[in-house]
Amino acid sequence: MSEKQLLWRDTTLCTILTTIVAGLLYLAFVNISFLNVFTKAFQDFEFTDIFYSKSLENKPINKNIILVNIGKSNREDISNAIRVINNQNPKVIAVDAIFKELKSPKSDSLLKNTLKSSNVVYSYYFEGDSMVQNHNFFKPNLKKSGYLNVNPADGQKTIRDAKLFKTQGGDTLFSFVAKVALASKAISKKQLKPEIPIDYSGNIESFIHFDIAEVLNRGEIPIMKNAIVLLGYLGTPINNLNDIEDKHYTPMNSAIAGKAIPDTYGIVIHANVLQMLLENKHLFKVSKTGTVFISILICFLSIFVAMKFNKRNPFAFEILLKIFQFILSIIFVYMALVFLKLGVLINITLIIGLTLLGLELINIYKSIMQFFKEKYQWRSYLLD
Amino acid sequence: MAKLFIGLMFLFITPVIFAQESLYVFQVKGNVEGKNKLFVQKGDKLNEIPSIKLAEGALLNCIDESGNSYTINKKGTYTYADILKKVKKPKSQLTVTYLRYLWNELLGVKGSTTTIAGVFRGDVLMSYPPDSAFVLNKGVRLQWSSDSEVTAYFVFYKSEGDEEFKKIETKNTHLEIEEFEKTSIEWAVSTKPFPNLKNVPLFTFTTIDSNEWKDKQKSFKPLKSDLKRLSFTSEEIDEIICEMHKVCKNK
Repeated sequence: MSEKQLLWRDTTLCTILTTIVAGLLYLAFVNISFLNVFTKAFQDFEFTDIFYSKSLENKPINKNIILVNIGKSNREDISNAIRVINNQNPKVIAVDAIFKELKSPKSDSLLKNTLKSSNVVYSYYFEGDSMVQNHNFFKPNLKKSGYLNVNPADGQKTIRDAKLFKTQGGDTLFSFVAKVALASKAISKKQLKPEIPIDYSGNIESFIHFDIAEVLNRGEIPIMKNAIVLLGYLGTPINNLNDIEDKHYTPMNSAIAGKAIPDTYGIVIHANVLQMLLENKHLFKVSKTGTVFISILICFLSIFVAMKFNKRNPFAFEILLKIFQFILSIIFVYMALVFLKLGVLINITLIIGLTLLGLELINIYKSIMQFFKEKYQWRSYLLD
Repeated sequence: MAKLFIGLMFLFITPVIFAQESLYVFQVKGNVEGKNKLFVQKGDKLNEIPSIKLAEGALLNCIDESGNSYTINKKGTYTYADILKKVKKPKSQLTVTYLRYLWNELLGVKGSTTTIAGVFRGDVLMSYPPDSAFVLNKGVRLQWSSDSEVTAYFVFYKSEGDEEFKKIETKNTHLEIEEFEKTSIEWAVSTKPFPNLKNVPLFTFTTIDSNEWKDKQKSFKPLKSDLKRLSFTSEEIDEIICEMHKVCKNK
């Protein structure tokens, strides 16, 4: 067997060893309870969160999405605000609040009248399989409303994906934000995908936002003409850091890992998804199978290069291995961020983990080969 | 031929005229005056305003349809064309910001944060008249402490029993109010134009006439003579009485 063939064989065997060790470690961390804390700590972590958390890219502000903070206002104020906004001729007015009970005949009647407008979209949510809507007095209509659920993936708290529609009992039910996008006629039903990864463009500061008092005090707000106005909760007072009502974890959180307070109001999450739909900019998410395949391929290539280096100068390899691993991690994260900027979302954690483990296992692989060589005259690129 | 020429001219010129970007106000800080000396507000369309005037410390940030940003933060008068020149297109700086972030992480450049195990009470700017004070005269000079990051203050006041507050915006740290309708007044100063007034701490004061003032002063006679003996001036004595006993001679 030639030296080249031996290198290919050793690289393949070391990659297989790495994959088996990685698999065993994964099983151990998932199944052994005291090690499970590490899994829990990392399952809500993705390297690409840096992109949003540290605002690595400035995205333009979309003037067609306007947020209005309803705060703790009463129904009369909310209905008056909807009336004022409607006078500005917006495309759509969307209300991210559910009015489950009746309060007073006067304010309820006023609100009912304003919700009746053809361009008003309102909301409901799913509690398990049951639907929670506005009180029957407001005559809730599924054609004018969308569900507010933004459930993150199992075991996670960070909202990374948006479920735009689902089918239930043969009916297609649209999310709140999908309903708003459809009502604005910026997108058709055919263009909607059931689930999309969210490409966050920014937090509350990246959207034009008003407090309900500002709206009620003004006769004219020209920017609202032909815009989509989302009414929801943005804190009391607006953007109060300590107010966590309807605030959720997103990749924009300043703490990438570990304990943190929720960072983004629900209405801002909806606004981010809406911006993606209006601009028709979607992220392509690399599947789990694809990620595993890419991880094994990159691990293989890294081991191939590292084995050649190990053979040439084993002493320098020992010294430079850690530096090499560090630089490789930085490059991989950078590549993932560049891909994200180009619209491709790839989970880089597995790629980094497998590659670093592969490089770390080269010396163990060498020792195993040494054992086989002594016992069975096994040939290895690293030893011959 | 002439008709064709005019037609072609119309065809080419019309889009140029209508292609002019519409600018909308995204953020305003401080006093920015527009048409008819009215203040420019968030959400206004700037095309309809011939010129704007920025006061000292004011800031105007506008956006166009494409999301480009236009910022002015220097005192002066600007026409619409001047603002258009201040365009700032969103730039892609991924590599630079990523490397800067890594560098800062490696050097451990992190702003130290103060953690307190308690609640914060007392975000109060108001300084004069002190809370629950009696003030001589019907007109009162309200004073508050300055905040270096703030360019405009919003003074809210109402007479006791009234439902609505009156609001005055100023960049100064004092405000003279000539005459109040009633004697008992509630007031607050905020740096936000629309604070939740249920959460804003309010100061109250009561205006008194000269007879009531004299009556109240009688009880301070021994204190006044002690302070005089300690060589305090009469102005300093008034200040001490105002601070400690909440009976104030208007400034």
